[in-house]
Amino acid sequence: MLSWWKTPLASASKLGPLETELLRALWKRGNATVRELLAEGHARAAYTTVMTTLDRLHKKGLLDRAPDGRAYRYSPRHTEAEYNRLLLAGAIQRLLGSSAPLSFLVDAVTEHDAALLPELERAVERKRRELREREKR
Amino acid sequence: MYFIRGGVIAMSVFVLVYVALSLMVSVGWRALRRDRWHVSSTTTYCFRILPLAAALVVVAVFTVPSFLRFEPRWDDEPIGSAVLALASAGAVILIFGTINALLGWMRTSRCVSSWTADSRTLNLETAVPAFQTPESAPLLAVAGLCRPKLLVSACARQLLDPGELDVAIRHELAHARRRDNLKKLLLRACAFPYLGALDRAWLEAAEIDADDEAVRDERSALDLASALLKASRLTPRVPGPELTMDLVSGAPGAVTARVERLLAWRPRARPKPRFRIGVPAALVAAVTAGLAYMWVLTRVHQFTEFLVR
Repeated sequence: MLSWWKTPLASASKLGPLETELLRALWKRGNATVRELLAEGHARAAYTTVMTTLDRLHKKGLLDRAPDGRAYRYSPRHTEAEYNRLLLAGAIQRLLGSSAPLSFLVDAVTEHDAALLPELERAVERKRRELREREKR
Repeated sequence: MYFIRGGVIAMSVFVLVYVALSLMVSVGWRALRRDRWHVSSTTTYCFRILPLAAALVVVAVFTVPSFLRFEPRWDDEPIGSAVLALASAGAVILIFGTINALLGWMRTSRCVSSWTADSRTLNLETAVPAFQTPESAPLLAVAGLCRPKLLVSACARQLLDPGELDVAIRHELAHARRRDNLKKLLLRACAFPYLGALDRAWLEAAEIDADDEAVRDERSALDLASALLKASRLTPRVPGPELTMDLVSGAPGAVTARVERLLAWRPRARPKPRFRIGVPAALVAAVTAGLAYMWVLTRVHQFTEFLVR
């Protein structure tokens, strides 16, 4: 019954603003590395933020990647039209086929967001350590 | 009959301007988003409120005066069915907006009253009164339209360390200063199809602006990021009622985007003073409108005559 939730595209329907922006840039460009996206002004964020976001899109099954020197070159797995069709199909399936109670849907949204929390918590801790070390010096 | 005719004409002009501008704003907003322009919360809000404000100004400044000035009182002119339909649509829009806003306000008041019924006042030395709410309430929130109050749940004081609590409170106080709850009420009053995306964009921009106001240095940026993550960890997350500003309100993805933004926080250079063209432009517009006022009233009357027939 939960198979629809476990598909990558189910979580893809809740993309963050930076994820959406990068995905659009890759649809336009075809493929790119983090450095190329930043150089062309597709994202106003730090290198590591863009790298983490692209990695997340890859894990969600929306991007393919191949090694390119010491970095990865990312390309969209679906065209924009295919992606929209798949999203719509997923939404209709959920609307028609889901007998899940409301509380489940709410939990599911939290679950999706929760998947990103440990990574962000680690980043906060790392930054805090760096700050403490800088202040000691 | 004279005043009924005036009311029908005013309502018809209102609905024409309101609907036309709402559609234009909707299309314009999509274009802005497509071109990925960065739009501040104030601009987003002005853009969203423009149809209602402009429709009210056109009715109050031009339509009503032109009717009173040029419409003969003894004229028993019949009212056409098209104008009646437009006026009815206008009445429906206004009534729906008022009920929508009232319902939101009543639901919020009920919810906040239940939280603050047995609450104790917190001595936080903040600009607005602060109350400790039960654990069932959102972690931190600002409620109240004209007299905002800060609600800090019992959970917040256990979950957040002093630095995190301090910056989270500053975030909520920024919402109170910006009267974001009152703005939300006005958004409910002028709900319009296809403008939901603009409402959400404003909410996300308002959260980012409150983050920026709350953060003073890199340490407080990390404290706020940590507070947001802890608030997101609360399961089940307790959403606040519509007319409150919660620490983690907005789409789920918006919280992670805010945290990423806080992680990349850098001290911002003071913006250079820019030549403000708003005031001179408004003065020029007011003088021009004053000079051409009678001409505009005549044209508006001709238009309403055409509308009535």
